[in-house]
Amino acid sequence: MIAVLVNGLADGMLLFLIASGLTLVLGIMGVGNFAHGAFFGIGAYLVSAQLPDAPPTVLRFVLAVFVAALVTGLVGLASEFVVFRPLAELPPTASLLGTFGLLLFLQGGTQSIWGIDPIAVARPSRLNAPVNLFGTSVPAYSIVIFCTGAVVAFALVFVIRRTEFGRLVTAIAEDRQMAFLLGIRVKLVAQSVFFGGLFLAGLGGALAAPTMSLTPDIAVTYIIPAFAIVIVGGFGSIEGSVIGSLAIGLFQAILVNYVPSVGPFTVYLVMALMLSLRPQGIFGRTEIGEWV
Amino acid sequence: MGTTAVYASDKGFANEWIRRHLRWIAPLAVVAIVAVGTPYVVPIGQMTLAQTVMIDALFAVSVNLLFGRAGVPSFGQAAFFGTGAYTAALLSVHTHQSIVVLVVAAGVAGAAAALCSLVTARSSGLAFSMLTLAIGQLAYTAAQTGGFFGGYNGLSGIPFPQVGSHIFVDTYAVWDYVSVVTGIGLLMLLYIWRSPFGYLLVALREDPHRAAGLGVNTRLIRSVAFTVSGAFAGLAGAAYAYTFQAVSPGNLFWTVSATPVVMLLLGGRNYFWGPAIGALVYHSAIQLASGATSNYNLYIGAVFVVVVIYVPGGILSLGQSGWHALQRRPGSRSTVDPSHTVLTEDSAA
Repeated sequence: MIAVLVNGLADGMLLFLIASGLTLVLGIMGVGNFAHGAFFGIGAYLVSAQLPDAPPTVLRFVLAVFVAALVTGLVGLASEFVVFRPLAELPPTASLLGTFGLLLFLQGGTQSIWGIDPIAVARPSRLNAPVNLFGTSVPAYSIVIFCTGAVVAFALVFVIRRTEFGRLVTAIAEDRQMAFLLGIRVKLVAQSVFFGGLFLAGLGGALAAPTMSLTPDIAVTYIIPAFAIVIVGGFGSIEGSVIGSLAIGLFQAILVNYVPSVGPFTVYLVMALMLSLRPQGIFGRTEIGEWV
Repeated sequence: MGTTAVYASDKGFANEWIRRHLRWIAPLAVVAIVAVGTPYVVPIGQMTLAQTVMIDALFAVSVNLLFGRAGVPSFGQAAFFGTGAYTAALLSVHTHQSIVVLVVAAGVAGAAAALCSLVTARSSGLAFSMLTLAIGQLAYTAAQTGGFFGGYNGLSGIPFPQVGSHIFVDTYAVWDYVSVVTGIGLLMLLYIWRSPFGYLLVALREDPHRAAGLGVNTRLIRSVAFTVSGAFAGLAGAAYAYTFQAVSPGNLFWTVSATPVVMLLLGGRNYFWGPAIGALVYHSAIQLASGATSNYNLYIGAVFVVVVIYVPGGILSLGQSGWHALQRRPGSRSTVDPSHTVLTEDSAA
């Protein structure tokens, strides 16, 4: 039972890493990005490209993850210039369609560089070793993911709530026009948030890479849990995303273990349940119908 | 109009009748010409492609009822396409009467869509898109896991379509069948598109709050639109099952939902025939490019982004603006009905 719970929490934290960028870009800045999952996929593939088939050393792995996240963020920044900026002038439907086109483009790009055959990424052998926790052995890698997720969560809350930059972001999210009139450099701040959100998407992908087999379709498959977490947690709430991710991770672990036939549907079940019981999510104030 | 009356009295009753009903006769004639003429123009090796174009035209137009008419962008219509295809596959074992199979498949797909609309009808925009994407992937996962659906391999060995005692056995015969089925489906959708209900969807797209203020039950209307769209997607799926004699979970994958979206955007989502033109252009382009690449998404995605930003009205909007430019030339007689222009022009995007 404890092993199930611990694994569930680790999976949940991985989900949070995937969703955190979406919470930032969509939930706080209000920029709808269909292609978010594609950036997650790019992060994962970039890690695989940097590492040999043999298990790497911990230092090499950490470096590869960091570089992957950074490059993903830069690709995001480039797409901000080429796609998101012209789209900002157009109505919401156009920006939805445009980012969908970006998703197709990035997914196709991933496929033309790395092919459609599944790729496995070896994790550092030291992080593969089991660790004894509450009387059950847990892979060290799960603990690493859990701690990274926790650090990211605290860092996000700190930056948004306690720093000058966070105040600017909140001001822009609240009233973009007024923020601009007050002399805030709206474009620069928005770009930084955008970069940060896609850096986190890349980080999530990079850390998730060793736990799954990479195919170009992860661009689409992982946008759904990320989106489900934004629904469950509430639009724009970082605390909500953390709780939502952990809840989904736990539910999934429990269902997979005890009701295996329902396991693959956990995310959809939680999403449907939340939408019918509390459409604004745990901490949200905005109902899903009123989103971007 | 006065001129019309004079004209009619000159040329007689039949001419007047044709004039008044041209908006129905013309589409019927186009569908009939395509159905009859295609086998004479297209080589036998390309007939399956022609069938795919017809099926995708129906599918894309059904998606556009939501996308273009109602302004709610669904990215999960493969769920209903697949529901139709799987229903047809499972049912064709029990009854050979393929008309029954088609009607039931469309009905089951419509019922599935009605069920899903309980969740989706309260959302719009990005949230709606994500929910429908999730519905599509949910259906994809379900098709893979249920042993009833043949698992990863799907179901194959679907018999040729049969009406009465007549069986459509070869490629040309199946073309006859599929083109008639999809053609009727398209004309039914055209009727819905032009009906008061169709214009109600435009009202919801343009200003949902005002429509609600005028007493329209927006949630109900959106649900009905979702159901109708799903039913016709199911019809397209059933026609697909008869064309290829097999269905697999791949028919519910997210790319199947994405293709009609590409088509309707390419052709023009504010026009009824836009998605059908888009289907033709899309498949022709892929056919031409298939020698050069097997990875389309990269190029489709790039074209897609450019179209969204620079040609948001699609191919048909280029034609329309050219037509208007011709008519604005000095000395030419303008016959543009302003009310018609308001309704068809891309005022949403």
